[in-house]
Amino acid sequence: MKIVVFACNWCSYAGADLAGVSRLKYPEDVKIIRVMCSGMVNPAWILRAFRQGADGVVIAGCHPGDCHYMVGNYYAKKRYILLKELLNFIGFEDERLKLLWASASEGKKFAEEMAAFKNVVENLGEQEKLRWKE
Amino acid sequence: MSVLIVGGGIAGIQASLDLADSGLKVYLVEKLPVIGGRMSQLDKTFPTNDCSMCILSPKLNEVARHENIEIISNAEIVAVEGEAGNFRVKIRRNPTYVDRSKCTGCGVCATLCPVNAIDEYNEGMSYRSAIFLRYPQAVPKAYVIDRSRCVGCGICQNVCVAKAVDYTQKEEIIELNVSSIILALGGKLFDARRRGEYGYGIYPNVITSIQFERLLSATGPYEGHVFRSDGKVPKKIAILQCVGSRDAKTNPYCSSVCCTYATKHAIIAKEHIPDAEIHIFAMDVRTFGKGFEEYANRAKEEYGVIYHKARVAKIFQKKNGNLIVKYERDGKSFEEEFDLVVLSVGFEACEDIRKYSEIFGINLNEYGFVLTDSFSPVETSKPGIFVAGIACEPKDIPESVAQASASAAKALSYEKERAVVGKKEFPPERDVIGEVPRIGVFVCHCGINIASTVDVEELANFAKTLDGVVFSDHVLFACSADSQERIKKAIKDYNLNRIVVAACTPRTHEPLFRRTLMEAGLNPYLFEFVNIREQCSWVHRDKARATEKAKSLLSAGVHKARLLEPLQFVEVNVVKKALILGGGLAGMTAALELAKRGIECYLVEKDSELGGNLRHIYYTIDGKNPQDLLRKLVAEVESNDRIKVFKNSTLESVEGFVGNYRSRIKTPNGIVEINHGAIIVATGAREYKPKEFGYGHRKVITQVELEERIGRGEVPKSVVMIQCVGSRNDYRPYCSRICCQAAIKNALKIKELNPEAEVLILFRDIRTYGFLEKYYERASREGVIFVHYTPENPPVVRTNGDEVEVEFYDEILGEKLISKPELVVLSSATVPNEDNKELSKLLKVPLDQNGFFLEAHPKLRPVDFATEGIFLAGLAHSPRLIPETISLALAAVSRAMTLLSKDKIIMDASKAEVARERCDACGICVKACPVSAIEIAEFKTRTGVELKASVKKAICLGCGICSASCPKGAIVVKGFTFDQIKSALDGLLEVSA
Amino acid sequence: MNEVEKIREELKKSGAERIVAFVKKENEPREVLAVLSQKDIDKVTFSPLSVNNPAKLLMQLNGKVAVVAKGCDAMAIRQLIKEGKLKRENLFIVGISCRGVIDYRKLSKIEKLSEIREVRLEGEEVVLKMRNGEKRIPFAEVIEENCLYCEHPTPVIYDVLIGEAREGRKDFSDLEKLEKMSREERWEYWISQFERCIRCHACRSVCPLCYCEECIVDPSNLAISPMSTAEDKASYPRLLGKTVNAKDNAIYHIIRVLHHAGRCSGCGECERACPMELPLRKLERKLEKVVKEVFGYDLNEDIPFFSKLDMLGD
Repeated sequence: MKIVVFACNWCSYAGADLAGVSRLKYPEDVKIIRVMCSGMVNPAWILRAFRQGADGVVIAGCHPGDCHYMVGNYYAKKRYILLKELLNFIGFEDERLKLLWASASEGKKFAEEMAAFKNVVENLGEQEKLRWKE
Repeated sequence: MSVLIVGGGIAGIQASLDLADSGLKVYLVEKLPVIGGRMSQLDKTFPTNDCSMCILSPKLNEVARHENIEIISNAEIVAVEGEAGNFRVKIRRNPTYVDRSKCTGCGVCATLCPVNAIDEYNEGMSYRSAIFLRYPQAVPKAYVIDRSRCVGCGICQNVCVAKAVDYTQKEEIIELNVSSIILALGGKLFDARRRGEYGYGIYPNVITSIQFERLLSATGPYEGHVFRSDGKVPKKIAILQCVGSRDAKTNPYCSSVCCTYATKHAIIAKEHIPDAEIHIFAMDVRTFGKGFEEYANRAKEEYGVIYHKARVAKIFQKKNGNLIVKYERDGKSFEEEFDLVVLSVGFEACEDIRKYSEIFGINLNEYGFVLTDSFSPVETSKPGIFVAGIACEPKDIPESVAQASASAAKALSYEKERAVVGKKEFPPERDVIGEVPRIGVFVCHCGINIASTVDVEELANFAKTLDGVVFSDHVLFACSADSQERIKKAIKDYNLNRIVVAACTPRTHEPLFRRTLMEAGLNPYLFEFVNIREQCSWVHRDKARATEKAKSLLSAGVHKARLLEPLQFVEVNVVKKALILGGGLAGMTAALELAKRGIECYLVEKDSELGGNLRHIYYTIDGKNPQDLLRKLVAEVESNDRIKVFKNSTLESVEGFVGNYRSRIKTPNGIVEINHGAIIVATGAREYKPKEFGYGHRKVITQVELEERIGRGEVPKSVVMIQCVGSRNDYRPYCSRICCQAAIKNALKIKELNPEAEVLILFRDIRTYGFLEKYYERASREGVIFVHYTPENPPVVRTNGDEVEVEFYDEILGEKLISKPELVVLSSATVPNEDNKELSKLLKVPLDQNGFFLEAHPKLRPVDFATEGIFLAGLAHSPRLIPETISLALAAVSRAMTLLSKDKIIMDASKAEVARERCDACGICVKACPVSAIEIAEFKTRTGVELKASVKKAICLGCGICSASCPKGAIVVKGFTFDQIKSALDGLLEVSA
Repeated sequence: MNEVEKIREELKKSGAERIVAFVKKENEPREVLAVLSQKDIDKVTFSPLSVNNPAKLLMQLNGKVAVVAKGCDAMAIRQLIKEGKLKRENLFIVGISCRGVIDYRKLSKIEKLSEIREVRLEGEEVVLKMRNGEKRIPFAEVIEENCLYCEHPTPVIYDVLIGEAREGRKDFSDLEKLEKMSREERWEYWISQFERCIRCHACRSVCPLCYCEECIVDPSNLAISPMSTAEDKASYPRLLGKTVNAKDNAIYHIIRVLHHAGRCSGCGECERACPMELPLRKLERKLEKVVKEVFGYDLNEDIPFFSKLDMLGD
């Protein structure tokens, strides 16, 4: 499985770092791309990820109210809902797109959520619908 | 003029960096050939289990690179003359027999040296050569010859390509003029042989805590595997507390850190040996610092660590090397067998202190530590000479760091003029625009941290297959000084224009590598960090799969690196004024100190009077008068021209950014608008009003209320005190730190005023850390009765009309007792202010789980917030005593001065930028920006005027909400542009697996 | 005075130099938008065949302009004003309370278009003036499906309104059929649609809101070559290749529609322009539903939907 996580620098990326420092294990399928804020995640990137073969995509940001930039995560959630609804509407498995709030101290939560998401994605099988092939 | 700092441990390092960042010249003298001190030997740091070297190493490198710091290592002070403002110091630098300026740290000499000497860094558990480097990340990274071991064979001299070995090197005398001196001498660990009954030095499986620390470390003697002397993995480990502490025969004081580090050892050992059984023997578990109690709870609950409230009497060895530990608990004797015994050794004054006290002419206290006063905690008995860290009292890293900053703040006051030490000159930046990407990749082993789970060599080879990569290498520690040199050399030799480092997390190490690029004449933003440690090797087990994942991460990094662009830092002017929130001890101390540095302060107090909690403290445990201090501070603050006090006032709003804040203060006379460059949060905390133990009854009061009564001359004849009221429970898991001290202080005061009075203290653990232990001991001697209780079996307070009685269980007698005192005094918790929540939202700084403010890093940045320009002091940080509050306030001043001493600050270049040719001024970004950093502006073109979005860079935070809102990708955050991330995704997903 | 006369009258009264209105093509019933001056005012016409949206045309004109706008046209104009593309003070809007427009495709299946000379609406019937004689057909048979669910038949912004204000539909029952399908059925449905897409970008060209000079999905005039510098490449968004396949087509349409969330005027130009007759409005409608039901956003709000902060909880 290929799982792409867009993790915000201040909370979720730090939470993922904490999972590492605490040596908590989660699946190798999970690969993190650092962004400054979940609010900068462009829906087009998510679609691009699916096009390039991602089986699951996670937008990970600070809990509501905790955003380093005050409100970036609210915007992230707004775009997430729009994209998710639309993906579902065209018959794409929208469970492959996940929004996660994980703070810098939630290394454990991060690791657990990643393992759980991998299960969800694995049950859906490989993502074929938007994967681009020559 | 300049400042001399003696001791290159974490305290000396912090003081050096603060002063150097404030523009002063610093001489850092270290006895050993390298700096780093005790912290460099630690595997992990409590209570976050952060890798110690990982957080220390960037600081070491910062010191090594800082243009204002000169390290004089392998040296000692010989003589000091003069006085505050003008000291003349004579330093002897002992020969290392290696020319530091020539040595590249390649280590070939050490591998060929025929000598096996005991390795001090690994506490005698491994060997090193006679020519050696204390530890891999050491600074200065130059080998030294230990002449006491050297056989003089000359091999090292012959193999050294750099011709750095010089057997004829002589000692050197350096004379300096400095305006002030900071002593950060550190401490010495207790020699466990002096407690013969534990068999240390005789029984091979009795080791000290520092040895255990080294055993647990990945860079330790067995690369992080815990073995006994016979190679057996210990499954049952005893950790003994107070070895050389709280002991009338050796050191009567408490060493403050051992209980928490033992907890850390237990947790880490459990992680190394999951089926191990770990017992900690402690008279009292003193986990009193911020987050420590929660840490100990985790050890118990999650890791199954067993704490015994007992002191071990003696240890015997069995034939198989196992040890029988004899201990007493509740008056009964027990014996238990263990595979390994770890002695938690305490701190003593270091050897040099006595010598230096004579050279510097300063006084020592009864225990041989540097004498300080509780109202001036970093000042020695001689003006102009300051002290920080363990040299004046055993303490943990954050307290040492805070004191270091505090002493730096004090040292600043002797600088009449800021030494004009120029910005470090970097070589001119090479113009790489238009060049085809030539990427250099460096893969870090991080010792074995990465290399044991990721095949770093394969990864480095894989990098070579990626487009644009012209150079790829793997290094043992990418963060070490020699690796930086390697990177610079590769940039030059291969004409690289982008660098990718696959190592740990950019959150700690990115600045280091960016600087290296600058030193090599490359724009610092032509750098991409790939995290293969925290987010790969540490979270996976399967080497093949982890390596595949690392490839995919590296591929993403290289893809992104191809599109990196050179960026220019944003410079902004600094308003040299500070806003201080809270007019208590911390706030007033900070204001006065800043004012002395020429900084104008706005001091905002919500009450009608200055003073905060200090107003309710009438005497200290060491017999000083806080009311005198209060009066002095208030008078000084109110008469200081540079301090504007707003009473009955609160902060209404804050706008702006580091160096340039604009705030609105709500005062009784209306709203006042102020401009300032920094903010210090010193809003304090308050005493918890208990809901338990019948509080509210006339005869049930808190410690603060008792103190007020005693202050009025009302001395009770009999008192029962109950500790941990509202602390260390499910609602408030933390320890309030100050209440044990408060109880004993008040008990002693009662006894002093009425020796016949009966005082009974019901406690869980008595936490009179450091030198406070003396008062615990004195209280026992003066007849104060201490009875232990457990949270499962707490005392019960019953009120009947005007009467009050306390029922409690006496563990030694094994029965319930009832006491009918004149007063029941509750040692009530210190709780955060309710308005912290609102303030945290206003300032956009976080709170911790308990509602206190959360600092940027619990170890090394205790008074900084993650948001630049905002600092933290006093009880708003965590519960603490007067000297600790003063230290923190001074520390905040020093940190703020690193900013306010500058005319300009340089900000990160990763900001939003508009690609004007694509922008059509639709304004979606303008209204979405959370800090109003975007406006629609008119731009002149050849054909006329057009409207485009435009970013005010000093305000822009680089969050990128705008970029994701823009339908046309016309506004991007530099370093995270649409195409850079898109490319990274492509790279990430291109690698199969 | 009939409707067309009223329109001409108002346009004349506006005194605008330029007029954007419908004119009839010669020798066929079709009507097209044209930029006229006052002297051409007699050419102005209006009928259920006045299908197009004038908003996009307005963006190319400077100075005072009078425009004839149906309900959906007014939605687009108002949105463009919100986004700074049009200036309200430069516009004189002759608003038309719209009963819906005729779907040319439906009409041509009933009658050969070249045979029809003129069309007008009488009650529930469409009167076709043929080359020889007159023919009546129920309006319901030829009305654009899009108009059946129109929420704003009466312009939300105008200087003068022709006709009685009328209520629009506020439900999304047109989506029910698709929403009731199983996910796999929906996917089959949509992928078969996207398979037919030839990515001619006609939908984008006609859309009044797709005014970006370069589209993030398919930048057509970018100077990216193998010689482009990294700096150039970094600042130029490119998402999809130029190849046409169902999946890229799907992504193209998803992104296009996402960019219209809270903005789409519902004019239906995209579907009208699509040579492959893709049901593009359905996608837009889905987002209209989400914008309304999840975010409670009203297109009349001054703040653009994407700029608006919605504090949605966990």
